[in-house]
Formats: sequence, structure tokens, C-alpha cells
Amino acid sequence: MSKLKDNKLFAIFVAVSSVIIIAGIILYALLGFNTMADKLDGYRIDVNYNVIIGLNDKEEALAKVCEDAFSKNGVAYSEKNTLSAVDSSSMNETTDEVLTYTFGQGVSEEALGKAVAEINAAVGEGTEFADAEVFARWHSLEGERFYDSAWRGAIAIAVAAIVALGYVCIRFGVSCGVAGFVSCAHDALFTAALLAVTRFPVYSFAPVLYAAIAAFISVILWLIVAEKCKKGFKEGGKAGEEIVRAAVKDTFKSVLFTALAFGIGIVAVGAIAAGGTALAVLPVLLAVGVPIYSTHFIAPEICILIRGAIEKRKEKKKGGYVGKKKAENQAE
Amino acid sequence: MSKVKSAVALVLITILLFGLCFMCTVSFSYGTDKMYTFNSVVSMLAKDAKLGGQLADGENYLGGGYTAVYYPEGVISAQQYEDDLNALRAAAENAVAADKEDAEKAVTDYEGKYVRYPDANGPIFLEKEEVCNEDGTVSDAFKEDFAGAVSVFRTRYEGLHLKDVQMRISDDYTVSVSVPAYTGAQGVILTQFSYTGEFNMGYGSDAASATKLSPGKDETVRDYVKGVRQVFNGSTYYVVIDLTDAGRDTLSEWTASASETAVTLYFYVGDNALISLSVSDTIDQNQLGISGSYTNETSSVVALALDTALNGAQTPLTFRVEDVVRTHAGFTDLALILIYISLGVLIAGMLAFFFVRYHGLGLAHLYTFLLWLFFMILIVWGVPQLHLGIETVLALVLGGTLLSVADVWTYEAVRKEFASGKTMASAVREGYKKSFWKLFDLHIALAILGVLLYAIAITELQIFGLTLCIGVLLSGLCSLFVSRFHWAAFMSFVSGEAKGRFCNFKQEVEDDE
Repeated sequence: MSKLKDNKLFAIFVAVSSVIIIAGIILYALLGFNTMADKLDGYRIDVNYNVIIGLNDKEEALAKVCEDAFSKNGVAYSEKNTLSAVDSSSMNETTDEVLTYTFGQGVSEEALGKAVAEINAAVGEGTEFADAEVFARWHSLEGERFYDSAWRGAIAIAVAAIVALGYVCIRFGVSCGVAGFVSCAHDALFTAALLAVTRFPVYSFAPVLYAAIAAFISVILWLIVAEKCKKGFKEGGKAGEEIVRAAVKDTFKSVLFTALAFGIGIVAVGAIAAGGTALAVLPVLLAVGVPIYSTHFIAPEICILIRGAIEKRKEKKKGGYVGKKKAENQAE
Repeated sequence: MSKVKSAVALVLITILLFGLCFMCTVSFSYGTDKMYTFNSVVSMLAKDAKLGGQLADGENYLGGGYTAVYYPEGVISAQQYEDDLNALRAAAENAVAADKEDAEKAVTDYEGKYVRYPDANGPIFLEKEEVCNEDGTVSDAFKEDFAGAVSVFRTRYEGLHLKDVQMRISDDYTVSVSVPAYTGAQGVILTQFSYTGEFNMGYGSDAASATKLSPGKDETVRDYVKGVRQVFNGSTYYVVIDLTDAGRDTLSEWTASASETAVTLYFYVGDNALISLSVSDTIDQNQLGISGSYTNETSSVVALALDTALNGAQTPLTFRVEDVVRTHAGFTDLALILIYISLGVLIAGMLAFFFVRYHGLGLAHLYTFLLWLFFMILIVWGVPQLHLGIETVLALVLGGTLLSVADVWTYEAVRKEFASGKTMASAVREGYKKSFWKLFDLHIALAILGVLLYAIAITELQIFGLTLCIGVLLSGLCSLFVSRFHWAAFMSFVSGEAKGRFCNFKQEVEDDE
């Protein structure tokens, strides 16, 4: 009864994982990840001015002129920075500065143009900014995406998982090694697929990094179970399925404690960090959570299947031709 | 371990930890008028474009990056147009009567030469005939040439394999590029990647008057040169030019008299010579390796610029580098401080757990963890490929957590042994023996994962892989050997039954009845 229940659940888990991974692959192929966090696309207004503004403490007044123009034209910026201008030949900072305002994609170009015209009119001759050579411009920005790092990263994770789990095969046996590899590949793909399916905004570097972290945590959690399985296989006397299920049960607390430790680490950094950092760090929790699921529900069943096949083969071998001498010895 | 030996060892380790802590975290100014500054290792860590911070001197900033805009010929910024026009107007106003008409005509001509794009408040001006028609419609030929140039820039910037490199099409007809400051080669990257035109080579006394290669009928430069690539050999970076047999013969001919009179070879992108190589011997080989003062980044830039000029899309457009700005941390300067605070909170929480659960044994973990942490900081500072970014922080958090988890596993194994009635020394021996292969396998498997990520991946994942690999190996050493040493050193001051209390371990008391 218990076996039947486990197998049924396994089929459900495999189905859930397959659906999410396939949906993720399709969505990635069609739309890619939602890399809005990079802020590559959108608009920007640059207000160039020279040192006189700084010398006379007029930065705030200039910013007020700009921001009044924005609110008058119904545009809202998402980010504001003051940058130093650099001489393009020496790459040294000059005395000029640039006040920049970043806008999202939904802003009207016409409104930006009007705002810029108003700023330039408000800082021209006869105003308190006349000597500071203030000049405002708006820019449209359309990001170019680089995909080299994504596909190289995917290959790296696949190769690293195969080799690392090859080591596990040698040390813990084929069943644990293959189960670990399946679990590792599943976690990396599942984590990336979840990001593609949920359209969660991420930095372009992030999905492949999260996938690698998922693979890393997956190896740790599965090795806790595999170590216990190895002990059971060594002791013998029980069927493979029984040993694996007992190992999963015995290591349940250890696996959860370990995952929790990694989760706390991620939450601590993500929760205290500033906006951009939190957006880069907190999704790592996915990479911690997914391996818990696969370590308990996917990998053990794979391990049982392979172990069962190995045991069957051994049984078959036992009943087969063993040679005349050995047969005589066995008969005695 | 005897008490004296333990005391000496602990004092020495404590002094080492204080020294490392001071070196890694404390910055201050000293001397007359605070002329000199001591910067902590943490403040001197190279930072990526998303993180950044001011050094203790208050002047130098580490992190962030540089952004520049490539303007094609025939496209100028609105500010440039305004400045030029104001200069012409001023000249017209100040001109003597005889020149006034010409000066005013220059103003009118200039005004008629450009069209503002995309509308009356647009950010750029396009030159009529060169870029657009009289009505301001951009010509198809310009669009095609611009697309070709974008493709070349894209190949170059993507091929750099540097994290935080960004490229955007700005205002439809200019290209905005950003590079991180940690490379130290931002000037070379921004300038040399802006060069467009065909690859060529020549020889002579200077780049401008050099005799250039003139391919024959039905020939191109590619019949002489196959490609250009970057090669790293030991400690030197090279730009290697792969020549065909015809190219080899040509160079051999050009340098035939080099042993008597030195010859200078030039390798161009358009009219810009990127390499000038003084030759004092005949070159007769298919591969020409050029070293010099190249770094990883500069050799990569030169090789990519030359190779894309040879094998990439061709464009007749030339570009100017303008509007260069220094950008600070993309996540704001506050981000780094908050990351340090969060790591501090995390360490405090971890230590609270160890001291509550293992009482005095928490000290052994504290010493082990601090050694690991300071060595990791020194490694991130000392290894040229590494710098502080989100992926480095994550790798440090994962590595530190792994060390803590490994210590908990061992301590729990010893607790189990001790509970079964063994003496503390025997329980420690047995606990470590039982945990050894478990921890060894775990760390080896994870180190393999890290090293392969470093070897195959690029940008963020490569840095993550390297940091993780080093962190995991150090964690393995610390949890298997250093932590045990610290345990033994601290335990030598405790005797008898107090040993159990020191570690908060209890032995199961069997009921006689």
C-alpha cells in the first residue's frame, strides 16, 4: 500500500516538474527572462552643468527646476544620480557634472521633450544658472542583450554536475550518483524555469547564477541522504527500496536544518540589503527551496528504481551460468 | 595537548586573528594634517559596477564604472549643436563689417545643415545629405551602415566576457556603452572599440605614412591574415596574428632588411594603428605573437578590435567618443554598507546559535570561522580575477554556511559518541572519524562543481565558481583540521566532568533498576 502511494506521488511530482520545466523552456525561447531589473530600456534625462553650480550650492535649486518640469508634464522618474563628466582622452574626471533622471518605458517622448524644453528655458540667460552652462537633453535607450554568458553558464552547470556526480557514483554507487545527477539537473532547470514562468524581474546574470546555486545546494542535500544510503547498502540485509526510504526518513531533519541554514544566510543578506541587492539576493531562496523538494520526492525514487534494477540484475546473475567448478563447489 | 602548549597556541592564534581583523577592517588617516591613509583590505577590495565605496582618503572611489556615447559621423548632440551655433553667432556679432556677411552666412548655413531628431525637442541633430533627407527622413543607406556598426560593437563588447558591460542604442542613432571600473582598462576599451573600418597592416617610419598592404585583384586582406586572437602563456598576454602563406611571405619581404635597419610594422582598424611593432629581425612565420605591456583586458581589446575589423561586418561610418561619465555603484553606495551590516548580523546569529547549543565549544567554531573569513577576504583581494560583487557575496555566504553546517555535523557526531558513555577524548576521536569521509566527499564534490564553473562559465558565474571553489576547499580544511585543533586547545583548560559541561554535552545515565 505504502509503495503504491509513494509511486503515485512520484508520478505526480514528475508531472509537476515536467510541466514547469517545459513551460519555462518555451517561455524562455519566446520571451526570455524578465530582465527588467537591468533597466536597460527606457528613457533618461541628462542635465549637464559646470562647476559653478557646485561652487554656489545651486544643485538643489537646479534639481527643483527639473523636478517641477517633470511634475508639470506628468512624468515621474525612477532614479536620480549625479555623475562626474570624464575627459574622453585622458579618462580623468573634469569639473563638469551631469544630473541624470531615469524613466521607465511607459513615459511619453513628447512629455519628456516638453520637460526638457522647459528646463532649458528656466536655466538660460538671465537666470541664476546662466553662468553654469546648464543644458538638458532627453535620451531614449534600447538595451542590447548578450547571451554568451547564459549558454556558457548552462554548459558549465551541466558539465560540473556530471563530473561532481561522477565522483558521487564512484564513492556512493551508481544509483546514488545517477539520482543525484537527475536531482541536480532538475533543480537547476526547475529554478530557472520558475523564473521564466513567473516573469519575476531579475538581472540578466541572475537566472544562471541561481541555477548554479540550486545545483550546489542539491549536491549538499542529496549527499546527506546518499551517505546514509551507502551505509545501508553496505550493511545489507534489506531491499534497496527499504534502505533508501529509511535513509530519507532518518536524514529528514538534517536535510531541513542544512537547507534552513543556507536559507537564513540568504534572507539575512537579502532583507537588510538595499533595493537592488535585495532583488538580486532574495530569489536565491528559490534555489534553496527547490532542492529540498527534489531531495525528498524525486531523487529517492530514481535511486530506488536504479537500485532495484541493479538488484534484479544481480539476482539474475546468481541464477545463471557460474561455471562447472563453481557449480560443483556450490552443490557440495 | 598540554596546557602550556595550548595557551601558547591560542595566544598566537588570537594575536593573528586580531592582526587580520585590524588589517581587513580598519581604515584611518595619520601623519601631519592626516597626510597618509591606511586603507583596510575590505575597503581596497575591487568592486564591480553594481557596488562601490569611497576609500578612507575620501578622494578615491572603487567600484562603479564608465559610460560613453559613440556618435556616428553626421550625428551630433543637441548640446554640441547649441555650442557650435552660439560660437558662430558670437563670431558673427563680433565680426568686423567686412566679414559680417560671411559670418552671418556661416550661422545660416550651419542652421540649414542639420535637422533635429526625432522632433523639435529631440536630443540629437542629423546632418542633411550625410544622414537624412531634407525633410529629416533618415536614409536607408545610413540605417544599414549604422546596423553594421552596431553588430561590430556588439561582437566586441560581448566578446570581452566582462561582467557589467552594457550596450544600448541611444536616441536610435547613437550607441551608449558602459564598462566597469575594476578593469582599469576603461580608456582603452571605450576608445579602441569605437574604431571602425577595415583591418590592414603596413610598415614604415610612422603610422600615417606607412606603406600599407594592397591586396591584388580579386583579393582581400583576409587572403593575408586569417584572424587575430588573445593568448595567455604563463604570465604574459599576447595578441597573436594568424597569417596565411601569402601574409607570411609579405611580412617576410617587409622585414627582410630588418636586421640591418629596424622596421616598424603597423596593424590598423580603419586609419587607427592599434599595434606598432618594432622589428629587428626577419619575420618568417605563420603566427605572429605580440606581447609588450598587455594586460588580460588590453590584449583582449586589441585582439577583438582587429579581429572584428577583419572578419566582422564592415561599415563606412566612423564614430566619436563623447559624453563620458563616471558612474557610481549601480545599487547605490549604501548597498555595500548594508551588505557588510547584513553579514555582521548573520555572523552574530550564527555565533549565538553555536554558543547556546555548544557553550564553550562555540569558541572553537568562532576561531575557525574567523580564520576562514579573513583568509577569504585576503584571497578575494589578492586574486586578480576576483572582485566584490553580488556573486562573490553569495559565494562567501554559501561557503561560510557550509563551514558552519560541517562543524555542526561533527559536533553532533561527537555529542552522540559522548552520550553513549565514551570519554571526551575518545568521543572526539570517534566523532571526527565518523564524519571525516562524509565531510571529505561533500567538500570534494562541491569543489569539483566550483572549479568547473570557473573553467567553463564566464562573467558572474565564473567569479562565483572560483570564489566558491576556494571557499569550499578552505571550509574543508577548517572543518576537518583547524576546528579540531581549536577544540583540543580549548579543551585542555577543562578537566574531568567539566569537559561535558564546557561543550554542553550530556552522557546518558543508565538506570540500574
